[in-house]
Amino acid sequence: MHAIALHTSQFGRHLELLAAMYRLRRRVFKDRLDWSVSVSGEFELDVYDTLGPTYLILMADAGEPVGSVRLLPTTGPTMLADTFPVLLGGSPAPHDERILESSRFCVDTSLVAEQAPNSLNRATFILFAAMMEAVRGARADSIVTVTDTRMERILRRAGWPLRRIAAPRQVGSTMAVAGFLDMSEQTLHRMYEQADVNGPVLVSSDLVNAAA
Amino acid sequence: MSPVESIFQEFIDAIQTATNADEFERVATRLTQRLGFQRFAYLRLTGETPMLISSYPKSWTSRYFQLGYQQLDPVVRRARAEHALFSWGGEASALAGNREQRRFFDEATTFGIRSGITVPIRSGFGRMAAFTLATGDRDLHPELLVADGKDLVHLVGLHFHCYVAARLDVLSASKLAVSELTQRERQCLAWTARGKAVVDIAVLVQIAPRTVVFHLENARRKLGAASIAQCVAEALRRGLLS
Repeated sequence: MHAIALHTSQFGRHLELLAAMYRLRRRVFKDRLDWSVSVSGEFELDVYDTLGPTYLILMADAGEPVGSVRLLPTTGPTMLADTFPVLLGGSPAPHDERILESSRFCVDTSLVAEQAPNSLNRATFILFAAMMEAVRGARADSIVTVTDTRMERILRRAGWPLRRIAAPRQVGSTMAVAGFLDMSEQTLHRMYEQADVNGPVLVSSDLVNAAA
Repeated sequence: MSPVESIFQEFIDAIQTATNADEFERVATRLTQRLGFQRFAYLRLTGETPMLISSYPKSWTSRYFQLGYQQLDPVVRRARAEHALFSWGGEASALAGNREQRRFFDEATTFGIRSGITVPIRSGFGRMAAFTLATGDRDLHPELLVADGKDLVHLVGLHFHCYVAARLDVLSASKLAVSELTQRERQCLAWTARGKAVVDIAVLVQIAPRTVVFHLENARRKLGAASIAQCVAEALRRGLLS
């Protein structure tokens, strides 16, 4: 299992992969979680996908995408600043070349869980490790994200705890919380160990663009 | 890159630079030609005012809205009901539908819009849009033109929709921002969310019922909702009432 980084400038060349990822997102965010997102046919997209994102796409060994996450620079509009400022609790939203915002994190449990015991955890750890590698590749040092308290627990157990910006708040049906995920070599190597991999999991390296 | 892949990359590269309706029109016109069609139309129906970006003849589009054809247009009706790309026009629709609709297609044909394919798009809370590629060429079969590229057309339509929302919506930033609701608007919405009627809220907040309606209507407009119920749902989703 590994992850592929895909930047806007490479969409055409990887159209099939891109389509598969938008399909995965529709299944997770529209069909399962019933978020208020834009869909057409089998695909899901929102306005933040227009801001030059880098997608990290988690590939199963059989070759199909089973997870993904979206990374955006925080120098432009962000979900935290422009959609969920209520989660800032009065703090200023980060706008910094050294901070990326992650969103739309998902691992398709139905696709992954059937493969082997513990494979869901492993898939999640590998996608976490890919996020850290992407941060390093973009010469950034942390991620800011809007997530929920359930995911916060998963992150803590994975040894990558969320540094909260403010207390969680009820948003719709979830307890939403915003915070930072700091990148360090030590955290990354611990993630490799938990995921049972020897080294880098992220393929393709056009990630400097993510912070541009 | 395959032809489909390079068409998509060219489209993505171009649309990133579009900042106004004319530029969006140029980007989609280029794509339309690359795919072998003649005209395109992006129609968004949100609340009371429809939004159109298209390369259809202006004489046709102004007539279309003047006569409220968006209510009658079988393509729009179908786009509201279906999720997947569909083709329309040609022989089949000359025979289908009621007399009014057949006359509508006849009229569209005189403006060079004979057949096409349409991608339905759904946004949150019942908002919809449709991205259409059309042709006036009798011998062209829209379905065949995109036989290899259905995913491509879906992705193009959806990207066009999101780029337009991100770049052209005046409300784009405020649509997303929380502070846009006044305290009174939040109060009235919060009571509505708890099942209170306008007359009850008037008593609770100590303002006239008419003023309650005024605040609720303002909130509804700000959140781009079609009804007060939708407005409450949207406000809750964005955490505006906590």
